[in-house]
Amino acid sequence: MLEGALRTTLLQQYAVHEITAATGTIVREYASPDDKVFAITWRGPTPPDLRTLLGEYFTPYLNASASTVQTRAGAHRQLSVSQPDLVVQAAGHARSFRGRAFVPSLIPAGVLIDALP
Amino acid sequence: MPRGGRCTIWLAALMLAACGGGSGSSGSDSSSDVGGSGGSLYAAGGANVVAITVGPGPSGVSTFNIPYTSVTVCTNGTSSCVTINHVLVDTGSTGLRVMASVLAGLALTQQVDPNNSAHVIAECLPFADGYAWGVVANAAISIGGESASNVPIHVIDDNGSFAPAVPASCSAYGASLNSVAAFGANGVLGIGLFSQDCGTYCAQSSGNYDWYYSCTSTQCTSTIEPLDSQVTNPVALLPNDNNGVIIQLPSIPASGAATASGYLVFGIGTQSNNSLGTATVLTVDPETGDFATSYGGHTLNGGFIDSGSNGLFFTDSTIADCPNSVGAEFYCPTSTLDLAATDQGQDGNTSMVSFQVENLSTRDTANFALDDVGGTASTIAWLGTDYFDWGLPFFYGRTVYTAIEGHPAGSATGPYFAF
Repeated sequence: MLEGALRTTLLQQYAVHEITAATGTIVREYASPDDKVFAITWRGPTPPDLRTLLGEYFTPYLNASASTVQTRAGAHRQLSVSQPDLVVQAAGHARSFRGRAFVPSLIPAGVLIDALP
Repeated sequence: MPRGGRCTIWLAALMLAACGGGSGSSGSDSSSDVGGSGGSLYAAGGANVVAITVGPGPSGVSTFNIPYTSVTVCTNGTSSCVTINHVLVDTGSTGLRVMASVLAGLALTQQVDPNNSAHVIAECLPFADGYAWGVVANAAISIGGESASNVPIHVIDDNGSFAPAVPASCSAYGASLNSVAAFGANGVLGIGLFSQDCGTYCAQSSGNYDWYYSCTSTQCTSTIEPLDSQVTNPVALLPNDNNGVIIQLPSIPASGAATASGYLVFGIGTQSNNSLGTATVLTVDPETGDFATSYGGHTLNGGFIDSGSNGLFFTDSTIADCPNSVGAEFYCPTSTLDLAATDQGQDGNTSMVSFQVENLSTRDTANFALDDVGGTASTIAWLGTDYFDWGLPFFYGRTVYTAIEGHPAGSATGPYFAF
């Protein structure tokens, strides 16, 4: 359960839900007009609850990250999972984490994933 | 337990005096000639100097650019000790964490929940790539000729010796790093900017991070952990030399080197061998530990210097990413790039840093020390235009100072980086 203050901004192609947790970590969810979340981003002193945020994509994320971790063991400041239907990039150190996740097939036409507000 | 500390200090003083003429001055700032001069400042050793090696990891780990050292962990007040090799030297984290398996049954004093003496304290520490989970214990530790007792450390449960299941709020961080193979080391020596790994937000109920847990033999619930009980930067608990560390690695060829050997030095301006000299001090945001880095016309608020990162990670959409087979997070430009960025501390001090990025796919896989490794940072426009992670390649040919929060260290007070 993700708890925190919620603020929603409606844009032409999608809505942005910003959730600020009590910990200070800020999560943004980007939802298409049919209300499907196609991307999330986060920033804060502690990582967010990825199980809740990724939902059905959490298990594929775990499987992919577990194998990625083994091939680059010891490099704890970066994680990149790049699959056809899921991209997750996490980075940072204790007290300053950040990351993003998106599902390429759900991105609305014309939306540039690198330019999400 | 300390081994002949006083004798080592005396010897070091003699050797430094003997070698001093070669470097021309006290010279701890002369980063550019560290590798080539043959007169590396810390080759003389000393009680506050310990060797670090960039090279192959423990069995099954073959990640490049990971610096390792050895740490001795002892039961408080006894001579029962275990010396652990392949401990990751990390300026990007705080506290000593070791795998339970490498303690080989050494009995440590587990922290007991002050509110319920039948419960023990455990921790779930998040990293960008997953979490480490296990009990918190107090131990005496020795690194080189330096020792501290009653240090709160994290025992990562890689062998199932800690019975309670990993809490759901912990495993929600991602992959488990609870094995030597996943962690890439037998432990991590977190000697970064902070005194405790979490700080005030784990010591209060409001905004608590869910890093510390109170556990029965079967289950754990999130709890408050007082500051002085949190997993603590061992450097801050040394009797002397407790205001920070210096890491010095040699210059290496552009093509890399099989291994690189350097030094971890305790204290800044506390001994004859660890003066700040004329190094540029960059004070950091006391909340995050980050400074500003200007690169490619953008000022990035998340700049940090990190021996625990195996590349320089920054965003540049003009540089080609590597294929998945090499590592999607790295850059593979067709030809070597000469680049530069400017770091700026909160104190206003600036330092321009030149660096190169090579095509990682052409590297010699026998080389574990690689100077010109770059990688991509996730581009997130709203994050305050991203971060610049000055990982291990930054350390080659430099003397890098990391000063702990609240501690005067030379001409400035931590938290700061200097080089």
